[in-house]
Amino acid sequence: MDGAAGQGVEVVLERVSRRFQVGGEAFLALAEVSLSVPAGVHWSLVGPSGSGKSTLLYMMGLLEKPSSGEVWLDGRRTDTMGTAERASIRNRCIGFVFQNFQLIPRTTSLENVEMPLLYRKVPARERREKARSILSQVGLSGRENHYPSQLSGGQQQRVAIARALVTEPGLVLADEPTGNLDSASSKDILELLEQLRKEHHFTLVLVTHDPSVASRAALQIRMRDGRIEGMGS
Amino acid sequence: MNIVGLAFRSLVRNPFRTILTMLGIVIGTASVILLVSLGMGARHLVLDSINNLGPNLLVVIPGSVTDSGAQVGGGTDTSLTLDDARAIREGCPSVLEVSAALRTAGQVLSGNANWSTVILGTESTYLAVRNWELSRGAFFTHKDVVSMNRVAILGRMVARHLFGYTDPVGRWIQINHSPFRVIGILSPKGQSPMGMDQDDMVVIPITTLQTQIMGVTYVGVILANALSTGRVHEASREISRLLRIRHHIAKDGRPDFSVHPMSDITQTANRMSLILTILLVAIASISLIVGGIGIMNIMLVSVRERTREIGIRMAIGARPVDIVTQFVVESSVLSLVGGLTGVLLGTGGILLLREAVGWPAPFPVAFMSGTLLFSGFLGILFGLYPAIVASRLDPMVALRYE
Repeated sequence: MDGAAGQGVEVVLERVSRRFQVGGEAFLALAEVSLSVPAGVHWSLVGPSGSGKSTLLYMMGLLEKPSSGEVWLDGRRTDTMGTAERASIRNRCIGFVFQNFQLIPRTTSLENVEMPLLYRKVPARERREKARSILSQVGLSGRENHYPSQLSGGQQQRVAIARALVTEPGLVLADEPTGNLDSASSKDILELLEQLRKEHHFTLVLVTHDPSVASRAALQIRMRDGRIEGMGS
Repeated sequence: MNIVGLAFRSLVRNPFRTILTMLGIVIGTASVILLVSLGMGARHLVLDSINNLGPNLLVVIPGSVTDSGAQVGGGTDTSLTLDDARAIREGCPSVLEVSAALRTAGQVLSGNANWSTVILGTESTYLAVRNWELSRGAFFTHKDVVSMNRVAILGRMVARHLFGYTDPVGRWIQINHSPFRVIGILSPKGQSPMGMDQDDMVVIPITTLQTQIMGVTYVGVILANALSTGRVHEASREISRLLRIRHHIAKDGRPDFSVHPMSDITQTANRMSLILTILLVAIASISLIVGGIGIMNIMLVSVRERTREIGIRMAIGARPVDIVTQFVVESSVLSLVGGLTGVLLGTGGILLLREAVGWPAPFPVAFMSGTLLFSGFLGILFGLYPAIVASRLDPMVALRYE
C-alpha cells in the first residue's frame, strides 16, 4: 500500500452497515452499503443532512468502524485491523480535509503541516523541507509562521489541504471543504484540489450538499437514509 | 519541533497553571532534601558530641537493668564507691584509666557575684579519662583527693560569671559557704550528648564533695578508659566480672550496676537519628505524592481541553502509543522541572541552615539525584492514567468535541 502514493487508492465497501445508539434508540447511519471506488478518480458524495454521506466518508477514512460488513483499501481488509495499524494506514495513505479546517490552534502553519510526518518518524530537516514545499504549492509561501488565528478561512483551508497532502496520500477525503467559506474562496479551494489531484493522482472523495460543487466530480453518488440512491456523472 | 519541545510548548502556553501544578512537586522535593540534610546534620552533631567523650570510654552506672533493658534507678543508686573505682583501676588489665565522679547542684560565690551551677566531684584522672584539657592553671592531684583539699577548677562559663575577663586562678570562691581556692580553668567543651552545658560546672576533688558538701560515701558514676578501641568490650567484661565479685552478686543474680561502652551508645544514637531521618523523609514524601496527584488532576483537565486536538492528531495518523507518549512526556517534564526547582530550593535552604544557623547540614548529592529521579517517576506514574484516557478517545467523537 505504500506504493500507492501518487497512483490513488482503490476503496471497496462490502455490505457496510453502521448503527449508532442515540439515547437508547438505535439509528442506522449506513444500511448495507456496497461500493467500489476505483483509484485516481474524483468522486463526490451528495445527499441531504443525515443521509449518511459523512459516515460513509469516514468509513473509507478508517475513522469509523463498520457495525457489519467489510472495508477494503487497495486489496487489504481494514475493518478487522487494530487501532494502531489503522492509524498507520491513515498516516500513510489518507489525507483529510474538514469543513471546519481542524487545524491545531497556537501552532504555526508549518508545524500543522509537518505533523503527519512527525508520526512517521521523518527527520526534522526533511519534515521542514516537505512542509515548506507543499505550503508553496497551495500558495502560502511566506505564511509558514502564521498561526491559524492569523489566517483567513480560505488560507486556513489551504493549510489543511497542505497537511492532507504532505504525506503524498493515495486517497484524499474532503468533508464539505467549502462549507465554511465564501463563494470566491470556495471556488479557489475546489480549483486547488482539482489541480493538485491532477498533479498527484490521488483518489478524491468529496462530500457536499451543493450540486454545483458535486458536479465538478467525475462521478456522483447520491445518498438518502443511509443507502446509495443512485450514481451519475 | 520534537515530542519534548511539544510538551514544553503546551506547558508554556498556560504558565500560571503550570507553575501552580509544579508547586506541589517543588515543595515536596525541597522539603525532602532539606529534611534529609537536617537529619544528617543532627546525626553528625550527636555522634560528634558522643565521640568527643572518647571512643574508648566506658560508663559504669549504679542501678540494675531489667530483662527488657529498662534501667531501674539509673544514676541515682548508691551501690558504687571509690573503692570500686580503685579496684577497677588495679584489677582490670584492659582498662587504662579510671575516674569516679559525683555531681550535685551548688551555689558559687565570689565577692558580689553569685552563680548557681553543677558541682562535679571527681578524681585526679578525670581529664585523662574525659579526653579534656585545661585552658589555664593546673588540675588537682591525687594528693588533693586523698587529703580532701578545697581546690576548684572552673568551667569557662562559671569563670565568666564570677570573674568576668580577669584571671580567676589563685582567687577564692565559696561553694555552699565553704571557701575553695581556684587552681584552674577548663577549656570550653560545649554541650554534652545529654544536652548539658559542660562549661557551666565547677570541678572539685570527689572526697571533698562527698564529706564536706554532700555527706555521702557513694559515687554517681565510674568512667573508665579502655587501652584501645578494640579492647572496649573486653574491658567491659572485666569490669562486670570484678564488680559482681565485689558486690557479691550470685551467678544468675541481677547486678546492681551496669556497664555501657560509649561505642554502644554511639550505635544507638546513630540508629535513633537514622530512624528519625527516615520518619521525616516519609512525611515529606507524602507531600511529594500529593504533588503528583495534583499533576494527574491537571493532566486530566488538559486532556479534556485538548480533546479536539487529540482527534485531529488521531485522524492524521497518531497511534494510541503516540498520544500516550505525548501526555506522559508532558507530565514528566512538569514534574522534572518541578523536581529540579525543588532541588535548587532545597540547596538554598541547606545553605541558609549552614550560614544563618550554623547547622552542619551536608549536601546529600546522591539523595538529591534520587529525589529528582523519583519526581520524574511520579510524573510518569500520575501522567499515565490521563494519557491512556486520551489515547482511548474515539477520533470521530473527539473531532466533533466543542
